[in-house]
Amino acid sequence: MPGAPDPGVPASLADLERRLRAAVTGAEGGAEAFAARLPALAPAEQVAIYRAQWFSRLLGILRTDFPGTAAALGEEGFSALVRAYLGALPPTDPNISRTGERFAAFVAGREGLPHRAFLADLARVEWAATSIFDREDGPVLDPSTLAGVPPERIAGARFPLASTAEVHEVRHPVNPFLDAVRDGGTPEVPRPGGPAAVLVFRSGTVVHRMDLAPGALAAIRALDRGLTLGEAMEAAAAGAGVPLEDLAPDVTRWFGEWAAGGVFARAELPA
Amino acid sequence: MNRFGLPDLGIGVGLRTVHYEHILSKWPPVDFFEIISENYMVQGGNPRRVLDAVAARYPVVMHGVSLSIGSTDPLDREYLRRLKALADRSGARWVSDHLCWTGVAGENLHDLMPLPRTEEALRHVVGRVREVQDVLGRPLVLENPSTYTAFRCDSIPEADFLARVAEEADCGILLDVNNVFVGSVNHGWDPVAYIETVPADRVVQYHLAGHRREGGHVIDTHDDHVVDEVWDLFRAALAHTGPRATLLEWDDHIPPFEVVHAEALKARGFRERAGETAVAGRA
Repeated sequence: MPGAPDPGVPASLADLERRLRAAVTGAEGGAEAFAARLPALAPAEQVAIYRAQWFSRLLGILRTDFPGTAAALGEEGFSALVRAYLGALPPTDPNISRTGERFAAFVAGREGLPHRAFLADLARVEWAATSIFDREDGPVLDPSTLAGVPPERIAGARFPLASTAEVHEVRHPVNPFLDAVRDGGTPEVPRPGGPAAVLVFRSGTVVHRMDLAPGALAAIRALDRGLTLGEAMEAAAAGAGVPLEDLAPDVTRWFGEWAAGGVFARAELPA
Repeated sequence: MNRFGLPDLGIGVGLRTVHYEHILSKWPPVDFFEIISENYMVQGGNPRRVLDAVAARYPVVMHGVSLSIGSTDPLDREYLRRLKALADRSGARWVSDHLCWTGVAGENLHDLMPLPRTEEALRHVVGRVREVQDVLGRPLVLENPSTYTAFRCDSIPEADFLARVAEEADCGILLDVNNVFVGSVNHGWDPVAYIETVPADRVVQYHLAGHRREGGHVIDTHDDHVVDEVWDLFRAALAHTGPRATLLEWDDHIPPFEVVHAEALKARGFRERAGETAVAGRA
């Protein structure tokens, strides 16, 4: 028909970019019509290269940031989950390392995903470790500054958490699973149970994951809410369901480990 | 010398996470490091700490992958602000990115998508480069990416497109010799003619890298040694421009630092001979 637009010529640069993006991400085909044949590549093959590169690069990033989730699902299952994730929540951040920012929430909301509750716990802890690694340095308590401070003043002090520490309540033992994957094992998906939470924190240049029993979780939550260490010990006993005097040695040990690990931003000693 | 007065920094390698420990303990004899800009546009933590330590001892250049200069989305002003802040903080000698687009409609594909070589695309890119340079307060340096697509609407040869963008936007060129080779195989053009079309005084830096053959075409993988044909092209490029800062890119399946560095140092002989030729030419 005279005057009819050539389907091989995009209406504009914007039109071409939109069509090529859709073809690469798999939403729709048609961009092949814009391409000219190359010596060794037909139009469809040209677009296929970009489609493969796009997916393999993002799959690789997510596999690096979520090795436990990838191991739990297997290659095929993880690949399918990633493809669904990218389709639902395409990356928008200029930094490719932020690709997984919404992945844990996506896993938690993914209907029909086998072992979804475990995978949600796993992905959340894995992303915490990744994001804490790059997080801006903030103030961190040097525990040596507490040397010589009377115990009653320490008990009356507040210890807010450092910006590079996060507490994640879980219903599954994710730490042993992640440790096994890190060490090259092929662990089975665990049953619900285990510690109440995982404390993820950065100490120097290393990110650590520490299991928290119910008492420890109650103590660190209390400290994070601004309660004093003495009040946190009481919360720990209540959380563990044991008398305070029975739990005091454990709380002292936990506090020492957290302080040494850089979990606290500072000590706010009473006047 | 390039027209911007930017220095010939010698031979460099990329600053890669897997090499952090080696670099920070050995302080190897590298002339300069190139950073992937977006990896260091973070709030803090290890990447920033390492960059501060490296930038205190070595010249640094920035090489981004998400500027998306050819996109029809508006320029990301927040990205540009952070890019400039990183350049100021690191003392980067220049800021480069690719002549491509990486996303549209708000989505980032995290790949170097091909631009059609049309007058419309040319005008679009030139306008955006000028805006970016105003924000950065310095010339932008644009790299020729490997492409696997030709468009039926293409009206300008790739080398001419690159040259015209650089001339009309008054920006620099990072000439990736491996990408020229990849393009010569995939698109069928003459790689030496391509190089000779590029304005010599706008070339600020070279990239060298490995690639992978797949039947009749080549994929730019940046995961291997530089092949002889690319070294030959590098020789031709140096004859055209004279010595320029040269970086060995190894982005995937990264071997130990010594291997990457040794590969980069192969460029030294080519640069020295090009320098001798330039001197002989002036005599």
